[in-house]
Amino acid sequence: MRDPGGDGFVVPHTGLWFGGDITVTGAVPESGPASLELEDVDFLLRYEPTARVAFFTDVRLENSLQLLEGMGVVAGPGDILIERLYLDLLLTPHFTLRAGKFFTPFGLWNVIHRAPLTWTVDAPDVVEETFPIRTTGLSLVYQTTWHGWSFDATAYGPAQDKLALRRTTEDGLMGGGRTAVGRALGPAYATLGLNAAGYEDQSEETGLKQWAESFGGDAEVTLRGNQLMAEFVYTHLEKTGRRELGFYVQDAIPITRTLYGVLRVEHLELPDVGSGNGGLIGLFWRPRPWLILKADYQFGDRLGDILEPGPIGSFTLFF
Amino acid sequence: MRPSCLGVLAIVLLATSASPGADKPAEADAIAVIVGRDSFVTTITRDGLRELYLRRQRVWPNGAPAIVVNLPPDNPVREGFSKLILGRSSSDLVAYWNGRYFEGIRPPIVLHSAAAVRAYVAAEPAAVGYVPLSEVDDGCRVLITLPAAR
Repeated sequence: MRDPGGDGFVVPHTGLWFGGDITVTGAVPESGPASLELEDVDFLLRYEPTARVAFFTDVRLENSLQLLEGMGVVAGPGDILIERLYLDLLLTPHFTLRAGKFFTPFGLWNVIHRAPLTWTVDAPDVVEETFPIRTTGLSLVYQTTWHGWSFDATAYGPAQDKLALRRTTEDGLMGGGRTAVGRALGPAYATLGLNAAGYEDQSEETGLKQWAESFGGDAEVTLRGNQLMAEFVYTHLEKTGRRELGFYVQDAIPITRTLYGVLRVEHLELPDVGSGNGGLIGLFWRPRPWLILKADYQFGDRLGDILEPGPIGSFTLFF
Repeated sequence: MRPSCLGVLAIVLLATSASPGADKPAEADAIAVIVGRDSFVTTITRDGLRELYLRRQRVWPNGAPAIVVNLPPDNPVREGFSKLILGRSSSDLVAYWNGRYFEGIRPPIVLHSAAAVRAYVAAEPAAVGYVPLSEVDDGCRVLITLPAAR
């Protein structure tokens, strides 16, 4: 039956919930052919056999079908990716132990990585280029509220990504943590977060492995339906001495109850490809709970396929 | 023995149909945070309520599942509760719940009237809800009273 509390479906008396979405994306990049792509088919499943134990998985089918300008329909390999697969054990009301594969708890965006429910079609490049997106291992999460202050602390590691059904460069040791604090400030609610991670980085071009450290900060302010968010990431690679950094600031502004305008600026410094600025102006519309339409115009100093300018849009159907 | 979900829902439906429109709160009515008369929950703090209503805390200290009950988003009592306890309006929580959806964590159950909330918590010992103070009856126990919604 439809989940009465939200999206997806529940199977009564079983502790089973499932949901998912299909996303189609169209892009007209300045540097390449226009495309219409079945971006991904996402299936989410959560099973809670008892109040203290939860199993969660997120499986995606991607690279399956693409319509390319001048080339027609191109069928891809249809990669099946176990995006997340973990077991949550609620040790106490405030401590949760997580074991498995999960999004690296680094910053605001990465934990809802490329989700259709983010405000824009594409994520800011800084959160895709400067630290590992996924972690496989253990994570201990502490959450509490004290005198109106919300505190979150997460520690994770030792991690090694072995669950992807395709090649990945996220395959080294990893450890890190995140801490965040949130509080109401008059009519607004603000959160501040700090992130740190150490991991084995592998260059996609040369295959060189080296130890890397990433540090980040993030902030979010919500006020009357408006969501302002910002993240900063600094990464240092030990062997080569390379430094990468970037940040973005994004504002989602409610126009009606279901329509939002989005503005974003970002800056990225990657020694291999150079430094650049980018930005985006977009619309996010959820006319029905099961339908999301997004239209963005991205601008930027193109760095290879990073900060690619041009219009991009998507529609997502939830089931 | 704990009542089944279907049993609780049946009670809620009966209660709701028996008192249509009975939950229109007075503007200046305080908000009562309630549990069932026989619930094992005896105390709660505002901080604890925030953890529960954001689903950051999902079990009670005794290990029972924490079931939290909301009124509909357009209900002024919910808006007052949300601002007082969660520090945000319902519209400011849109992105928060979008993020939780992608972990399979669902928002609190929504019942469409104070009568339905009363009936639900009376039948489910692990449930907590809130209603206008003037709507509290003998089937439930008040844990905290919050100032009137503005």
